[in-house]
Amino acid sequence: MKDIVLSIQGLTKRYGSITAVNHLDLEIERGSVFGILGPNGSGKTTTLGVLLDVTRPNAGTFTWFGNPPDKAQRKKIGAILEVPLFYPYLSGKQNLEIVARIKDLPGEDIDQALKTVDLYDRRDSRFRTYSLGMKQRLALASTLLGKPEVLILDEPTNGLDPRGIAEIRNIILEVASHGVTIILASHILDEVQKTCTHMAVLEKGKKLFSGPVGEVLNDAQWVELAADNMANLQLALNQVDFVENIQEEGDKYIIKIKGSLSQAELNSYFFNKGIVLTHLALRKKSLENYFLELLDKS
Amino acid sequence: MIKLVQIELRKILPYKMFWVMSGIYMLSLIFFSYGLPSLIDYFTMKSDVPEIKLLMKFLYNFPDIWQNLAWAASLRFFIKIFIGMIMIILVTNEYSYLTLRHNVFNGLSRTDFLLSKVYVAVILSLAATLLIFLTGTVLGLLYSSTISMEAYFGKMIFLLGYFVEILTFLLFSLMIGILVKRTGFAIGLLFVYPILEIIVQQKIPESIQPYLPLNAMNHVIRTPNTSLIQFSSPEFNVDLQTGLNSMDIFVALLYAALFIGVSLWVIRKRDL
Repeated sequence: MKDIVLSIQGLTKRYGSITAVNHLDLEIERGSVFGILGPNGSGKTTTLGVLLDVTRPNAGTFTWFGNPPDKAQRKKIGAILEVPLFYPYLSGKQNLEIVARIKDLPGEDIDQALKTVDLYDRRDSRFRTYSLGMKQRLALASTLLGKPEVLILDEPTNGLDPRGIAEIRNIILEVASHGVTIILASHILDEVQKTCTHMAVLEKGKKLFSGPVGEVLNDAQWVELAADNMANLQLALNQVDFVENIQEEGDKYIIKIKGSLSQAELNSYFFNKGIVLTHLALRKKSLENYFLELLDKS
Repeated sequence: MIKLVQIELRKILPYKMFWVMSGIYMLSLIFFSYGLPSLIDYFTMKSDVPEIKLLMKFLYNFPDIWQNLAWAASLRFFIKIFIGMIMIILVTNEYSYLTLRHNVFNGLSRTDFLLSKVYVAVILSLAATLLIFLTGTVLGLLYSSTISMEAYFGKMIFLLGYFVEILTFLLFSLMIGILVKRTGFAIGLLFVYPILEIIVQQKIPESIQPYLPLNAMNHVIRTPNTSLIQFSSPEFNVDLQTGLNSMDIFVALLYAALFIGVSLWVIRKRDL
């Protein structure tokens, strides 16, 4: 049986005439790294806000760990929403002590959390003196307190430099390797692709797709082909039924293949037709392409 | 409850602004209490109403000192405003730093959050009452013409009246903070509201005037009929107070409950 950590049914949130989240249904399994992907303003933060009781929905219900939401469930969740939210006049450590007290934690792991995000040396500096990267890392440290069952991260690498992004990503992967369920909202395709196992795509508050990231990447693959005799190759391509789309790019054809065919199968197919391929390469389809396709369809 | 108080103390005690504001509040209360005789002297010298006869030297007499100080501390446009500002800043900070959200999604309920601020209001009210108690004790021991246990405790019940009044006022400030969310606007409203209430007062029947919020609070401790102001002429018919009225306290507490109720309703309903 599937162990569902979060289940959302028909969630709707309107701001005046704008529908920020539109009848959203979603299920997230324990242990998955779930990416919520969508452009800015697609309803990601609003959805997470509702899940954390910061935003009041107009309609719909959701359950955490199979229970109706309340503060006891939220104590098992570590979350970052948009920007780091701390008392600027308190030190990093004092801020974490408040979080620990709210979550009914003894606070023994505060130092450890600060070390994990590399802030231990600055633990007694006031929050307002931190750089943006340090603020983000403190927010991450606060989510790690007390070994949460679920991590909610809303644009965790927003505004960070490449090194900061890599650091945060490594921490996320490290945490995920311990079986923590992670919900990651992002408008950066690369981020979702590199860290997530499952994903949902949102656009204008509507869910366009949800499923395993692998499925997104494999449901169609793009292959680069070239042969000595390009005319023959084109002729052959026009006859086969597994090709969905053909594009010419320089001296190569880029074809989109329905279903799954291995490179070896492809090669032998053309060889049997008397065409010797001089180039055969699998093009990993990026989420970016997929995302644009989804947006076009809707 | 202990948990919520602990959390609030962690937020407040290291906050420099809190201590600066509290310092201003304490100093102005102490100086005002100490300087009250000279102040009244100054006004009576200017006053050309011969009926008002000040018995200055009795101002700090036990037991009237409790009533006199409680009245001075509860003047609506004055010292009280500072402690109201402290309350507002402590609430609106949570909105401007967005820490209210952080508190809630880390595992406080919205009701918990409001309760923790109500506890802050109670603690500040206790501290303000304690301050009057200490000021009164020191000034009384220095200047009172009669010092006995009986006189010392005589009208100490007025400290309870002051506690009720300042608590109601702080809960009013808390409600403004939650409704307005922005520090500057909230403090502005705290200053403007008393004026608005006076304008409204002119337009409504006299019988309901005392039940306007600030009037109701201020009614707990009215202009004292003590040595502070004594009228030699009985036909000078002004609402002067000799003792606490339980009905006044009840009305003030009703308002306190209303302010908590409105705050709770708003905070539960709104996006944070």
